[in-house]
Amino acid sequence: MTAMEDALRLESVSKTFGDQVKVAALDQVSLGLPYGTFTAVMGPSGSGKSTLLNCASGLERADSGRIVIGGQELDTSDETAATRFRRGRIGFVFQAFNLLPTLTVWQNVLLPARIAGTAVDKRRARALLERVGLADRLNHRPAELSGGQQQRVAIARAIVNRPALLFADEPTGALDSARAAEVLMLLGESVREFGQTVVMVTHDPVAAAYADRVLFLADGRIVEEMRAPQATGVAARMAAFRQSGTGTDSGGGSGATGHDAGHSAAGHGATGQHSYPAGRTDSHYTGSAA
Amino acid sequence: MRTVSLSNLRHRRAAYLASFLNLFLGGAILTGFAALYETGSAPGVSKDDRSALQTTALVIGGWGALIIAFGTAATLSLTVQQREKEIALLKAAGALPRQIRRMIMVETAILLVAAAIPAVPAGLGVGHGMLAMLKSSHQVSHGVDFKFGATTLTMGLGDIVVAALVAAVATGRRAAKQSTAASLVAAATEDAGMSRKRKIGAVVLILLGLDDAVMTATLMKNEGYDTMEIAGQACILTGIGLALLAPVLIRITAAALGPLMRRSGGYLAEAELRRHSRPAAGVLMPVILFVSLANGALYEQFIQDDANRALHTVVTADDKGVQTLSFLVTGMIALFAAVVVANIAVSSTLHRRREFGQRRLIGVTPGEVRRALSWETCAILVAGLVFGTLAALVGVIPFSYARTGDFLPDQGLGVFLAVGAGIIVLTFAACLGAARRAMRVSALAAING
Repeated sequence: MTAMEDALRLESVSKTFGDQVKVAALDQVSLGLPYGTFTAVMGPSGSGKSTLLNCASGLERADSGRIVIGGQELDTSDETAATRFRRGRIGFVFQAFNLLPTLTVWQNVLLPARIAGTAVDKRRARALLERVGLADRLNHRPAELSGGQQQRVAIARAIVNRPALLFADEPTGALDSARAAEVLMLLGESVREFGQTVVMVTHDPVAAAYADRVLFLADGRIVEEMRAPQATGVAARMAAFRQSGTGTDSGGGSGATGHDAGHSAAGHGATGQHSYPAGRTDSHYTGSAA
Repeated sequence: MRTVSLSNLRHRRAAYLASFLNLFLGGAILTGFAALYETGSAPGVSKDDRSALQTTALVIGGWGALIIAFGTAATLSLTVQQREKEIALLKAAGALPRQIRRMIMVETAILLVAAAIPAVPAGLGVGHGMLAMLKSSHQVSHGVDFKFGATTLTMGLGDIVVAALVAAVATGRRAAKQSTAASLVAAATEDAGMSRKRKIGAVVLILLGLDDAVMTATLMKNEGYDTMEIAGQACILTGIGLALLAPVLIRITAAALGPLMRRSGGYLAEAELRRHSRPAAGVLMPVILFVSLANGALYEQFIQDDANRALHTVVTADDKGVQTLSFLVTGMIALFAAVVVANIAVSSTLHRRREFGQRRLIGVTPGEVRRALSWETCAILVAGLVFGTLAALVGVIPFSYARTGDFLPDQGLGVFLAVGAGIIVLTFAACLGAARRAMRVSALAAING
């Protein structure tokens, strides 16, 4: 027991969509992410980045390959098994926040512990809510909060149980630039201050620049890795993908349409809807984060 | 907008099928009674036959019509409510309030026509069958011919037409009135509390029911079938009044059961019932109605039979025939109420697919989602049985007093338990079956679809 286990390890994970026309969303993907790292996954629409996240977290079932989280192999034999596995080890931040509308902020944050049947660490929950700046909103309901506030609650909820891994799927996709920067900063701080391991899917070079490294996905494969990314560098890489045609953005050619058609509803919604046209790199929030 | 109406009907087949079934059943039952009435009013029918036929038609058809109108309106407004978000999107896309109202009207009209066409022959069959039973129990002479015509059609279909149109106008107005932004928010979140009109309506109906109860025990005490009719009305009016208060009743029940629920995995159920009571209240309404109607009608019939037996001492084949017929008729209307319960339970549970998906994504297993739903169903049934029985007692107690001098009938709890068991099995099967179906798709698909 010398080498530390990775927080997440994928071994030749594949996933295909579609019945007649098979589209490989993930094609023999292998990777290992050490504890305490912040990784961004980028790629054009239909490149498989949401599928990667969904398979790695057990929300979707991979066709083949092994997924190991915190030293234990993901059990996807059925939804109940996968859910039980997931809720002890994985936190998830969704693009659409997914706070339960009938619960207060406080109840939402305590929910993971309640449903997992573990001891409720109220002190940690309170500290986290203070850290995300919402200590005075404990009794509010999600509908009474702004999008940015809801996402901050969602982050507190995702890490309250000290998960081995925090997944974030386009966490800033529904937020304006200032709110997005706050959320990204929080994710970064959870890595540096709490040693949290974070994997974030994004299509936004600015968001990706908050990570320690960026993995580029195209046609279901990891095609490149970039360490200590800068927004401009990431944007240049993405632009190059678009030009070389290894997977086209959703506004583009027929290749992307084929991917999207075979894609799960989730991947479709998350990537299709928020993909931006070429030239978005100098968009409104490049400046605020630079 | 007509194109939109048609494509709505096509795309929401399940929800509209429920409304269709209600309209069809209601129309058929009432057409049957209307045909009896018209048969009785035909020239050449003897005075006794006329009275027998018209009493049956008006007494039972009368409160049957109340229940059918209420059930139809409840199902139709639920169908429209479930589309709040879609209507909000139409408005955001520039549809005028007038166009929304028209869209809902056109959909309702299409449904009405589609349901009325098969309901008429089915109803004539029902009427013919009832006439045959009346003849064989010698309440009506054999020479009476089955008659139907314009009166049958207006009386039989008038009820569902009026109920459906009133529901369409009311929901259409509500949907159209809300500002676009407000309706998008409302669709996403909270209860729209009970309107003043609804509260006043509920109180008025309950007062009318209590008034009927007093009448049964006093002024109308010795009026034969009329006494029974008033007592029946007391149950139904109180039942409908309480059903209108369902959102309040379900919150009270949730608060009472709260500690128990929290201790046994019903944490989410309690929050849901107290904060988002509309779906549960929708199911509770017909449950109250079913319980009050079935218990009220059956116990009143028992009391009446006992009183008759005390008078005649010998039970004739005719007495048996009368009893069979009235059980059959009560059964038909109870069946209608049961169909409304099942329809609303299934469609409102299916409609929660996204909410269930949300819970599953944050780590609730499908089994735990069903457990929470079972707790909600429990609360609905507790409320339904308590308040439904209360409504039934409003009719049964004075009627029993009027007939026997005792406040409670001596039939025991057999029927009550059977009615309770029936509604418990039905509601659980509908809710949990629909939940299973709602979770057949993956959680990801459920929240995006």
